Amino acid sequence: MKIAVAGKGGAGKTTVSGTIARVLARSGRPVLALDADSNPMLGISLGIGPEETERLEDMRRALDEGEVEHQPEMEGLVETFGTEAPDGVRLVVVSRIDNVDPPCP
Amino acid sequence: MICDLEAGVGSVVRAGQADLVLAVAEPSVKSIDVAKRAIASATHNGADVLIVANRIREDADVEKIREALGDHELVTIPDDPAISRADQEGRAPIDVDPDSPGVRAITALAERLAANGHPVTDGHLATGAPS
Repeated sequence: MKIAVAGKGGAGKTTVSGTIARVLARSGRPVLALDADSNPMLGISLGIGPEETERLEDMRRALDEGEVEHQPEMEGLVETFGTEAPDGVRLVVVSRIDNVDPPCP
Repeated sequence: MICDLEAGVGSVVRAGQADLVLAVAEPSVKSIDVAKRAIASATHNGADVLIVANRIREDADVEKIREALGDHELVTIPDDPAISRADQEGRAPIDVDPDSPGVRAITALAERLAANGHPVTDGHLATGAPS
């Protein structure tokens, strides 16, 4: 099941996304959490802490500046731009989904 | 797979592969307006829509959102100081206070989604690399 969480900045998207991801993971399901926000703070709501959240944001910035390679396959994507969050949630900060085709899953 | 979209509505159009769009709205005119456009986009793309009425203090807040956003299923998340505290501390709300009213409401929503029989799978991310 693919769930997208939408709304105005500050409305609570990230809190809702992070908490749902954690609860679904606790129920034993594999959960992939994608942070497509231009201000990627999903890591905070998932509980990986500010430092790791910032590291992932830096990775995306490095990608935008051409310092690291794009990872078109899931495996490389999670490894390079992702991290393991509590309860087994996998978090990936995705880059500029406006250019992805097909669109953000 | 759960996707925390960028603020606004643009990316909802591109999230066309979502099975379900959670439209998060708090009881402000601007927030409701963005949610309204997100719902229109999601509906156009054939996704199910569920309204998440967030930071609710009183019944009038819910009614305001329901009236503006129309006939979709709606879940209420009460205004919750524990969530603000989690934000300030840079921690997950579910770790700060799993039993606070707001976190419980989101947990209940997630458990419902889990029980709906939709398999939550990894899916496959778009293979086209962003340029």
